[in-house]
Amino acid sequence: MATIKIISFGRLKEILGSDLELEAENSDGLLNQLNEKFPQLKNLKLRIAVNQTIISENTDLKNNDVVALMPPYSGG
Amino acid sequence: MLNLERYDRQIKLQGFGIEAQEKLASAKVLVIGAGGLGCPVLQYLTAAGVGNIGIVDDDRVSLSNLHRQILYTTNDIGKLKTEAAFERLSAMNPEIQINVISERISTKNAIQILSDYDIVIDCTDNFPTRYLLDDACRILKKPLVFGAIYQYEGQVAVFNGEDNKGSSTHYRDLFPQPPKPGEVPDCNDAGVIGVLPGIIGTIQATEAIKLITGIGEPLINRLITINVLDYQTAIFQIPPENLIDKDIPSTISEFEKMNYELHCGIEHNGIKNISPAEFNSISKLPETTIIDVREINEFPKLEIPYLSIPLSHLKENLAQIQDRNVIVVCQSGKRSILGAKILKEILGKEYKISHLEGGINNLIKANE
Repeated sequence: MATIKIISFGRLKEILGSDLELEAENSDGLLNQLNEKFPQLKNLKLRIAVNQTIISENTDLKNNDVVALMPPYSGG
Repeated sequence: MLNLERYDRQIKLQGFGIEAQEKLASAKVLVIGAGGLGCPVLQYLTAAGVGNIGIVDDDRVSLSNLHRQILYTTNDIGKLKTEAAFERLSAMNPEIQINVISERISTKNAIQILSDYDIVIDCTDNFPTRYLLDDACRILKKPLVFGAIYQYEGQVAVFNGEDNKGSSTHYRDLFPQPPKPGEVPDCNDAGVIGVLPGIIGTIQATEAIKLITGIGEPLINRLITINVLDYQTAIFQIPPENLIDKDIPSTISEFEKMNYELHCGIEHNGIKNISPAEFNSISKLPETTIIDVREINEFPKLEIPYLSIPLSHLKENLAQIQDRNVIVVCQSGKRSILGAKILKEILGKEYKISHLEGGINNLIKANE
């Protein structure tokens, strides 16, 4: 298990409260944990970046990786 | 002829010079939306000497715009944003050409309007228009400078530009499908700090200048996010997704058949769901009738002119509806959707039928 730092933006930041740390092996595992902890996340459109690269598929995580959760914004 | 004195301080810059200034003078940039983001974009591109600027917006200046839409003054309230902006920008720099298009960008006019320009800047405030612009720019292969804001945070990226590997991405690579209505609140509902669009719009203008002149490294295939509360800033790499097989338009004729309100779930069966903030602004528009479909003895009543026709009597009372825009309201939004369906069925396509989501309950909560 690796210790992962999670940062979030927009409404996701309001849901997660603050930046947090979790243990996870890969991005899917991390997302499952987050969905369980924060059920409001489940139906939201969000993108995940690992160390500042946006990912589309399950990605292995290592210690001190930073995972960012980003929602779309519409305001202008 | 270039006015060398006007642009002296940037011409002097190392790596800029007359050559870059001439590129700006011959550039054609289209700014969609003359609101919070559009104002600083227009202001800086005008001042920098972009030779040809198009402004697309159909909205009018209102008092609640002024804390962030810094091109407008209190005297401009009620004027078309395009016209107020034109006046202000022409005074700032009479040496450039400014074209005003006082329409809402749509699948009907987008291709024609976009075709006249080299770069498109997305300063809009809603998802349907953002997806519309992304699809149109992808199909026309126009660089798109995207910017969006939420409360204290902003995002900027450049789409449809080629990076040094020759690859280019689109907004749909970042968010392939729109969020559900109400999932992401807009500035009307969630609020926004006035300086934020100033910062994000100024970055968009910077990106446009970089794309035109070739200086620096534009945010091609990269998304910058900025939070003004703690200055947490990050740049994310956007890899291309496989967009083939996704249900999105890939030709002009497919694009022109799209319904972006429907695509974003805002319209269902031809009925538009509107939020309390949208209700507050569109209920005041001319040729608009509001129909309260609750029973006569239900309270509180709306504080603006409306027709009271209980749902059970709606069909027999259609003759009372004189306007083409109809907004149906009730207590919680359940009867109004039924009422809107009845109206759509009988009145048909000629009428624009909307219903207030969450009803008067939601409106009162939002206006508190």
